[in-house]
Amino acid sequence: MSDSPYWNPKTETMPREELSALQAKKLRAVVARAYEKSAFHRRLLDGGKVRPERIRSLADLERIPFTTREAWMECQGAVPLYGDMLAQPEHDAVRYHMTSGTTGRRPLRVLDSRLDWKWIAECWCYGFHGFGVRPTDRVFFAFSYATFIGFWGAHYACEKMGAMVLPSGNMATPNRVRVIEEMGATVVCATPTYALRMAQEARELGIDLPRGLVSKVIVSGEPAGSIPATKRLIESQWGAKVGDTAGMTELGTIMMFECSHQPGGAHIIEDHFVEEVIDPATGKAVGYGERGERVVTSFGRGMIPVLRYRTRDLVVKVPGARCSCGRTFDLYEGGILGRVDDMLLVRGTNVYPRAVEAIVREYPAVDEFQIRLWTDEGIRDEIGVRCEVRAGHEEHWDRAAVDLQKDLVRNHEGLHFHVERVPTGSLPRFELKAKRVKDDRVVKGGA
Amino acid sequence: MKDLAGREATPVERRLLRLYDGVADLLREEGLAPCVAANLKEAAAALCVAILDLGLRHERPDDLGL
Repeated sequence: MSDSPYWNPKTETMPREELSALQAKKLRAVVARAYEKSAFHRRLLDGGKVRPERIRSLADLERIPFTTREAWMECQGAVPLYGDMLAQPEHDAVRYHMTSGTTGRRPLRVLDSRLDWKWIAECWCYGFHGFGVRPTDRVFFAFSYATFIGFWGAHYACEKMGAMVLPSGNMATPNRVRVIEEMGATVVCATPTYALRMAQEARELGIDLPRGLVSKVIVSGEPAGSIPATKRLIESQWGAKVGDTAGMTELGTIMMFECSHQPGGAHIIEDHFVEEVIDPATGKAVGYGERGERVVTSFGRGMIPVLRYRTRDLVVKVPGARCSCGRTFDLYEGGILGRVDDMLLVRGTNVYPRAVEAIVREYPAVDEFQIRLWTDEGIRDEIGVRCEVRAGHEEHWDRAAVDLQKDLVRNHEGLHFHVERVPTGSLPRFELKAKRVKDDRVVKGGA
Repeated sequence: MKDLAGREATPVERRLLRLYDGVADLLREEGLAPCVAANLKEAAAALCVAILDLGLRHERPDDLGL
């Protein structure tokens, strides 16, 4: 076996012209199969008056109607449990999963076959190998192994690569930190929030993580993995490099990963996905460097074809040449920048939780935080950041609070932010996706 | 034989395809013992992913129940 920095040297360094030809052929095959095997997709394509045989090039992609989360949920409501999306008989499936439900909506149910699972793990291999994980590594998963698909695929990827997996299932945080130390884990996988939580626990237990063996922390599940200040914080608390990945239950796996060159963004796995970026209001494509909504088409999942799925993720695509690693796969600069529907409107000012986090994490005195919105005197929206102060930083808090407040105001068109200290341990902690916005307003999003 | 990107397939890629086709053919045999059928399915699925990675084919083997 070669010592390549790429999991799949052939496609990861393929000239763009050849890569497009490859994608076009795969697209044609995927659309034809979806039309033949899945009633949902046949309806979708018929509705758009698209004949599969007319899909010949990537330019034809935009003729295919979008798939939305709402349509997916509607079909599952009409034909329980999985809707009429399946392109293979249910008995080909080997596992059931569902979305994490962090948005409060009804979860989506998904099934995957044996071949799907091999492919799901394969996509994670692109990411783990690309970030430098090798068969000699011992990889700890801070993950509960339940119906949320999360790191399941990453676990199988590590086994496939020959790395040793250290599962932690339903262990409590102190036990997890002890296992990381006792077993000599070299790689840790967690959400960014939980990586910080474990670092806090380690300090309380007297475990010096930066002097330990962990050299890589691979994060997923939250946009924070690519927020520079959050990343620096995790890196300093673990003494390790942080690599971001992003996936979704609707795809079963990751579609982007940060390589070991850490270019400030994540490469799209373009031999297994086509990713478009559109203006969420008009549905029209936007160019390199422009912020828009991700729309994904998958070439890999067999049970559930995914054609032009509107993800609601906000991204900025830039050419792969922006990274020095030699991959030709394009990048999402800054990873996932937030969600189209994350935006909070406060007295006419747009507030994105990711942007608030990017500011708050610049302050080492803040250990955990929460964005709270409420209605004052029955009419006026207010926004505040509630902060727990990190142990050892108490004497710096008053100064930090003033500066933080000024930074928040300056970055939000003069919108006043309250900054409040709350007792240590009073804010919620999260293992999976963090929910740091508490919106108690009478009318949410009101002016 | 060319791959989906239009490149000539390498000797290793051709061998990989022959190997996969052989496993798939074997899997289509009637009356395989459960231990044989299950492990052939695992092997076929693994080989299929390598073929997808290299862009050698993109047809899914729906008749094999993978």
